[in-house]
Amino acid sequence: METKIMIVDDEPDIRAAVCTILEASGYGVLPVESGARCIEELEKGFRGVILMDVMMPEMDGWATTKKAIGKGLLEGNVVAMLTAKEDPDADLEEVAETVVNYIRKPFKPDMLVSTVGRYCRWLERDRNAHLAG
Amino acid sequence: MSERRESPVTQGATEVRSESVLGHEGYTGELEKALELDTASSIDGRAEFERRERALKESEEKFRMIFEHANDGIIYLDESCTIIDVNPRVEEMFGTKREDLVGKGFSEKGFVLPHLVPRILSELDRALGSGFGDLIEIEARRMDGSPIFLEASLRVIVREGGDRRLIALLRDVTGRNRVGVEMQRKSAELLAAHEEQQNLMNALEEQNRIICDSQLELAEALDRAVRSEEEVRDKNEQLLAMQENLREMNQHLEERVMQRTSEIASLLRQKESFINQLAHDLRSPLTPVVALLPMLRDRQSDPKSKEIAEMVIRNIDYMEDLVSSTIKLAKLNADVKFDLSPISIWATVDGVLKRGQYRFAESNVSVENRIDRGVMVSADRLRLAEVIENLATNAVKFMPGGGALVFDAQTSGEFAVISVRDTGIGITSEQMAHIFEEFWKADKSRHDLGSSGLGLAICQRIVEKHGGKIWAESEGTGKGTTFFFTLPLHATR
Amino acid sequence: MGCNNLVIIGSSTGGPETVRRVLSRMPVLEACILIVQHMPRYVNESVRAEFAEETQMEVKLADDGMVLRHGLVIVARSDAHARLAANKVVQLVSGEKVNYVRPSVDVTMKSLRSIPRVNAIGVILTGMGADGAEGIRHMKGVGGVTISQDEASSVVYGMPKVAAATGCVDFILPPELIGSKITDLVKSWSNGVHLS
Repeated sequence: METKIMIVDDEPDIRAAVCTILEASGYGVLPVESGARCIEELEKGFRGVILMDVMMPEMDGWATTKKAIGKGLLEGNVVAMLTAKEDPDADLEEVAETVVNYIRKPFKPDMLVSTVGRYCRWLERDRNAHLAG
Repeated sequence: MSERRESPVTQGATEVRSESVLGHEGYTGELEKALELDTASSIDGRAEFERRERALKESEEKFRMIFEHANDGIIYLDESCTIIDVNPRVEEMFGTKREDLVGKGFSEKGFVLPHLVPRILSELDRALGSGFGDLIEIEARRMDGSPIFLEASLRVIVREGGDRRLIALLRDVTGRNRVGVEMQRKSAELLAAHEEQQNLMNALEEQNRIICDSQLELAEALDRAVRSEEEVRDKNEQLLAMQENLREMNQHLEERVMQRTSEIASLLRQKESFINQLAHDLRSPLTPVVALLPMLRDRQSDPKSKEIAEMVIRNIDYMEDLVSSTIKLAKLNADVKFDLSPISIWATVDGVLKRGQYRFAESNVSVENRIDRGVMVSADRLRLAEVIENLATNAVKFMPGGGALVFDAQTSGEFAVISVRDTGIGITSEQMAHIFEEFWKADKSRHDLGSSGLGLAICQRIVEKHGGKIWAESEGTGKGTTFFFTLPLHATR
Repeated sequence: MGCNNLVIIGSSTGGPETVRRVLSRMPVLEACILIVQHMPRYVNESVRAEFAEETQMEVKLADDGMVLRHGLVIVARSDAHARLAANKVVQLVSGEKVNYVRPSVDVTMKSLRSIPRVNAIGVILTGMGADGAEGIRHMKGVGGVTISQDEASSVVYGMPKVAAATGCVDFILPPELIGSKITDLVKSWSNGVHLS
C-alpha cells in the first residue's frame, strides 16, 4: 500500500501545487481544505504523511493537530507543519512529540519531495516491520 | 540809746587810771578823788557823798550788767584800732579770753581774715571820719579756726580831751549766714545742678535730636525696605506666574512631544506591521510559484522555453529572498532585546568563514581571519554573525572574478573596530552616500537579483543597536572596499 | 572498559535531519552518544536507521539495561524516559510525561551524576517547547560542556533558545560545527587533557 500524503491548506493553489509536485514524483496526495476536513479524513482512517498549514480560518493547524492527538487519530501518521510564519506560536509543547518538522513557505519542490519521501519511508518501514511480525 | 553817750561818771572825770570800764579800783579811785575834794564839807556832805556813791554804784552796776550780758559782742578800741576792752560775749564769740585780746591790734590774732583787713580798715577810717560806720558783714575766725560771720557796726566817740574811741558792736550772724551761705551754696549747687541739668537736657535734647534723626532715617529705611519688599514680592509673584506659565508650557510641550512620539511610534508600528503583513501575504502566492516553476522548467523540451522558465525562476527566487530579508528587517525593528554576552570576534568570523567555505571557494575568494583571538566584544552572538555574514556576502558579490577577503580588528578606546576588506570593484563617492539605505542597490537599474538591497541596512541596524557605527571606505572604482564597524568592547573587571 | 566520555543530545521538531548533520561530521568517537529525539513511536526504527546511515558508529535503540560504551550511539525509545544509572547503564522508566514529552531530555540529562566521573557534553538542538533547559543547567553544574544550536540553523528555535537563556550554554553553533566541536572535545579527553 502506497503511503499517501494529506495536504491540509485553505489555499487552493497551494494544494494544487503540492499535489502536482508530489504526484509527479509518484506519491498519492489527498488535498483537504480545512482542519475539520482533516479530522474527518483521519476519522475515516487516513494514515500517512500530513502536511498541515498553520494559518487557516476557523481551526488553525495547531488546533487541528491538538484535536487529532486528543482523539488519538494521529497514531501512525507523520505530521509536518507548513507555514509562512517565521516562528511558531507559543503553547506548542504538547505537539512536540508529534510534529516532526516545520516547513516554511515558500519551499523548493525538491526539498518537499525529499522530505515527504523520507517520511513515507519511515511509515513504510514501520508497516513492513509490523507485517514482518 | 540817748544822744548823750557820755556817762554821768565821766562827766566830771578828767582822767582814768586804767581803761577798763569795769575796773573797780579805778572807778573807786576816781570816786575817792572826787570825794577828796569834798571831805572838808559837812556831814551833810557825807550823806550827800553816800547818796552820790550809792547812785554811782547803781549806775555802774547798770552799765556793768549791760556790758557783761549784752548779747552782742562789744569791742572798745582806740584810734589806732588797738583793743582796749572786750565783753564776755566777744570772748564767747571768738573762743578766747579777754587777756588775749586787750592791747592787741584788731587784726593781730588772726581773728580777722587777712583779705578782709583792708576793707575793715577803710570802714574804720570812714567811721573815724564820719562818726559812725555802716553795717558791715565780715567773716572772722574763732580761736579754733572755725569761721564766724559777724555783722559789725562801728561808732566813734570823742572823749574829753579830744581823743577818740571806737565801739564795735558785733553780732554773730553765723547762723543766719550759715543759712545764707548754705543757701548760697545750695543756690550755687542748684545753679550748678541746674546748669548740669541744663547740660544734660541739652545733651538729652541732642541725643533726642540724634535719635529723632535716626528714627527718621530708620523710618525712611523701613519705608524703603517695605517698598523694596513689596517690589520683591511683586517680582516674586511675577516670577511665580512666569514659572507657572513655563510649567504649563512645558507640560503642553511634553504632552505634544509625547503625543507626537506616540504618533510616530504608532506610524512606525503601522509601517512595520504593514511590511510584515505584506511580506507574509507575499509568501502565500509565492509558494505555488516557487514550488511549481522548477517542474515547469523541467517539462520544457524547447530550450528557449527552458531559458524563459529559468529566468522566471530566478526572479521568483529574488522575490522570495526580498520577502525574507524584509521580514528579517522588520523583526529587527520590533525585536528590541539583544542578547548581549562577551563574544570573541575572531570566533564569530571563524564560524562564518567555515560555514561559507564552499561558497568562497566557488567564487574564487580567499579568506583570511587576522583578528586577534583575545578581542572580546559585548554583543548579540547571532546578530554579530549576521553582520559578518552580510558583509562577507556583499564582498564576494563585488568580487565577481574572485579576490581576497581579509577580516581584521583594532581596539580604539572602549570599542573594537572590525574591518572587512575586499579587493573588489570598490565604491564611488557618489554611491558611498547611499549604500546603507534600505533597498538601495549599486546597480542603478536594480537588476541585481543577487541581493535584496537590505543586507547593509540590516548590518547598520544591528551595529547601531549595539551602540556602534558602520561605514565604508574605498578609493574608487576597482580599488576595493573596506567596511568598518565598531562594537563596544567587553569590559573586563 | 567503562565509558568515560558521554554525549547527550536532545532534539525535537526538525531534529532528525539536524542530528544527521551533526553525526556527519563525526568519526568513530571514543565516546558514547545518547540521543533523545521527540518522535512518534512508530518512526523510532526509521529514525535510528537514518542516523545509522550517517555515521560509522553503531546506532541502537535504547533497551533497558543497555551499557554505555565508546563508539555507540543510543537512541531513546518513545513512550519511556531514558535514565542513566551510575553513569554507566541506561534504564528505561515509564512515568508521567515531563515537559509534555516522553522521553524527556531533562530526565536523561539530570540523571547524570558527578560521580563516577565522566566527561560529558550536553547538546540541545531544534525543537518546540523547553525540554532540555534544566538538563543543560544540571549538566553544567556537574562539570559538563554544553552546546545549543544557533537560531539561524534551527528549524524551530524553541528548545535551543530556552537552553541558551539559562546562561549555562558554552557554545552556540550550527549543526556541522557542533559535530566538529564534539569531535574535538572527545579527542582532547582521549589525549588526557580533561576539560571541566
